[in-house]
Amino acid sequence: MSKVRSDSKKSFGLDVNGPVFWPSIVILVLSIALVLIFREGAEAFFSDIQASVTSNMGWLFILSVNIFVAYCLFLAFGRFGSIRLGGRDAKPEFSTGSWFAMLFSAGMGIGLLFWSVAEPINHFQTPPLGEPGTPAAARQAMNFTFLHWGFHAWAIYAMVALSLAFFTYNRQLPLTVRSAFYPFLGERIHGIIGDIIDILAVIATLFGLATSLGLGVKQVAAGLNHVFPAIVNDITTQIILIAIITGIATVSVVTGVDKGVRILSEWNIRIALVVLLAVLFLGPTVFILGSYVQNTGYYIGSFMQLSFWNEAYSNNNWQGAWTVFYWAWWISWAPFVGIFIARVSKGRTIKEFVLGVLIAPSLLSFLWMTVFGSTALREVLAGNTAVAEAVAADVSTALFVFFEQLPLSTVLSVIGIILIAGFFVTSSDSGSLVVVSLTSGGRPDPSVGTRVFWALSGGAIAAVLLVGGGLQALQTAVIITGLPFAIILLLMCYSLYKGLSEELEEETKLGSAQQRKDYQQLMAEMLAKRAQKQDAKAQQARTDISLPPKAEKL
Amino acid sequence: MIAIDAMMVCLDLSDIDEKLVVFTRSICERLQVGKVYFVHNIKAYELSEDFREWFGDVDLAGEVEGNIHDIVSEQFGNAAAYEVLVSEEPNTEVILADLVKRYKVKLTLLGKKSSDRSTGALGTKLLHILPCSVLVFPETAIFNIEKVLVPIDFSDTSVHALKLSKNLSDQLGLQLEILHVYRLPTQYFPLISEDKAVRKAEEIVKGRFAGLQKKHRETAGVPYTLVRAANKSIAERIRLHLDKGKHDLLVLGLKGNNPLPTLSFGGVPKEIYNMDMHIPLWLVYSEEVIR
Repeated sequence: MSKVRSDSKKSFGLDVNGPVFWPSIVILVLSIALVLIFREGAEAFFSDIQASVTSNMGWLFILSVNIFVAYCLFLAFGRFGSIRLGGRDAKPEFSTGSWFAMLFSAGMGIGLLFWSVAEPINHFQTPPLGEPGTPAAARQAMNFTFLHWGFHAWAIYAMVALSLAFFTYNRQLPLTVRSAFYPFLGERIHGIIGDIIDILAVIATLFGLATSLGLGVKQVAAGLNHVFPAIVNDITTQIILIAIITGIATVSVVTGVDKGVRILSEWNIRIALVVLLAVLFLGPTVFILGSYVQNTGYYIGSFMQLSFWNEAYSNNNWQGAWTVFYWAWWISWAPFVGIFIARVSKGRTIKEFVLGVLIAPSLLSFLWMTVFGSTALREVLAGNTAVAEAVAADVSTALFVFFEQLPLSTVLSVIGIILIAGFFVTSSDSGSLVVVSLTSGGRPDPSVGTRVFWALSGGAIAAVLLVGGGLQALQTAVIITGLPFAIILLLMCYSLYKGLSEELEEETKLGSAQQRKDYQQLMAEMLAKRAQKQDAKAQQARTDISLPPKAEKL
Repeated sequence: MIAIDAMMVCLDLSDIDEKLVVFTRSICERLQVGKVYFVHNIKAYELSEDFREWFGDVDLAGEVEGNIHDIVSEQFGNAAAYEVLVSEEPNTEVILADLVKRYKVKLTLLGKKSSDRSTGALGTKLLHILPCSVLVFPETAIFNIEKVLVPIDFSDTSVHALKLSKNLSDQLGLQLEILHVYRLPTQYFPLISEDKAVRKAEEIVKGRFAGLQKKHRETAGVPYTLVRAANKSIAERIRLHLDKGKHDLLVLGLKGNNPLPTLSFGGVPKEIYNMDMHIPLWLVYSEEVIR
């Protein structure tokens, strides 16, 4: 476990950071109560704000995420690349495989399962540019899917995680969002401003988690019902699913990152690879491999144009509903995923970190999207409309309808459900650990009671919102937090740059000062030694001259 | 018979210089060395104005050369033909690489201090750019060498290192051991029993050893050990094996199987170089293999 400073104090007998823990609880309870009371009104209110944010502030999101990608590459391949998180001698806490499994499972696993089939089909049917239902629309659909799940999304996570990891491990600050603002705020991060930043992060994380869990179990239940019609998709099934997922997540959180979370994440990745390879080999293998190469090339080729495209000359709000929505969504999840990735990344160099958090998961996401998305598009282009109809009817069953087009569909569907549940558990446990870290002032080893409390809270909030309604309203509210967080993240970029520059400057100064001192000392010692030797020689010569000649010599 | 046409010894004016010169003598007495170049590059930019004022208009190059001559005449004698070279270039690694090319140097001897006394940054740069084999001599190493360890990954360069170690051992009557560290990607095959996977992996490696011994008959009698990397890096495993086996010299091929060493997270020789070791490390560079 890393040795870091924490802001934890005893509050009402609990091992928590009171100024963050208690206000978070009050805001959570109040928000849930208000949403439950003004259910439909709240949903309409937040939807209006979200529409306004995505249509008016889209340019800011687009600009910000591009800055994050460029910034991450600059950090990795520039002069900061060799800085190690945790100092020069720090060693990674987890093997590279476990590290990658954990960050991928926490960051994106679940979304890939639901959207890998549905999103390309959606873009194919309603493309932002050109005619729908054509091969050109299919190419464009994959291109936009890559855009939404590729470098930009991971750059957001990488930037936040890197910033938090740096200030935690290299500056010995608590593992909380406030620490990333140390170069701006100095010691004030331990005061009220820091508390507000952390409270915001707690609320965004917990609501993001609870709403995902609530909406997610609806999808799992729909999938279960599709595969096993005997299982009814009703509120009871959904509550039972929440209880099971929360139960496993609680055990995982109690056992800690190096046991429960790591083992579950590794198994998720294994199962995901099995599903990926199964679809690759049971499906049109040569087509998939060919389209992977083509999709990636097409994405790289149109990267700049696509990344900065802003629908500036059209009245269509396609981008607001998709691209900008995604950017806001990833940004609102960034405090959670960022803290978690930071937690497991000690001992990595910045270059290694960016390769592992930005490049590798993007390439895996591309492969995943191609295997599922391109295959689905191929079916539709060949005249098989089953998958397209499933997407239009219910996104959550699209994956299972897709499996039905392949041999061994029941086996694949069962593995798919296990995988979905697995990714939910890993999102839930890592999210709970993040909230625990935030509310305990970044304590590296928070008490079991606090861990259990937050793990169960996530499930309880999801269940309450599921029964009482308001999941959609709260999820929309969370996405809206993407806007202030985008600005916070931009400040974080500057803050991290300042911190890294100071670190590098200190390292270089120390190194060169020491080197200069050492070399000067060596040179001085050598010159002194030589002078002594020459003196001794001169004295010897003088003594030889002054001595009277010996008789034998004469 | 190992013959070294030209050898370069990099001196830094510290205490380690005498040890390096003595070690060079012992090499020259045992192997056939054509000529030795004792070199030092004066880092003029590291000397402050105060230093220059204090020492006045002293001829630094002359003093350094005199100092090296003193050490060499005391510790090296006439073990082989030698020349002292002193330069005043801004970039030490560039001038050293240039000397290697100019004098067709086959082996460079570098001293190495422990990590708390030196960053080792220059050494790491030299490993990257010197187009010759490098022998690293830690300040704590002893001159007596009896047991040699040569880890191999079956790449052409590591086989070249093995052949050189075998020649060296035959010539000097040393004990040679081969080490192969293998990895099992168990995370991708969780359902396969670990014992079974280890057995299978060892069978495969033994098959490769049999193939190697068939192809290079001179290596047939050399004992070899298989070690699983498990949760450690290959370099860490080699280090543990060295500690256990009490070896006195480690020989490694300077470029292994990895075709993209600069993109990897750190090559084995580089990682081993950065460890605090107490035995000499011979990093073998084969022009023919690289070509």
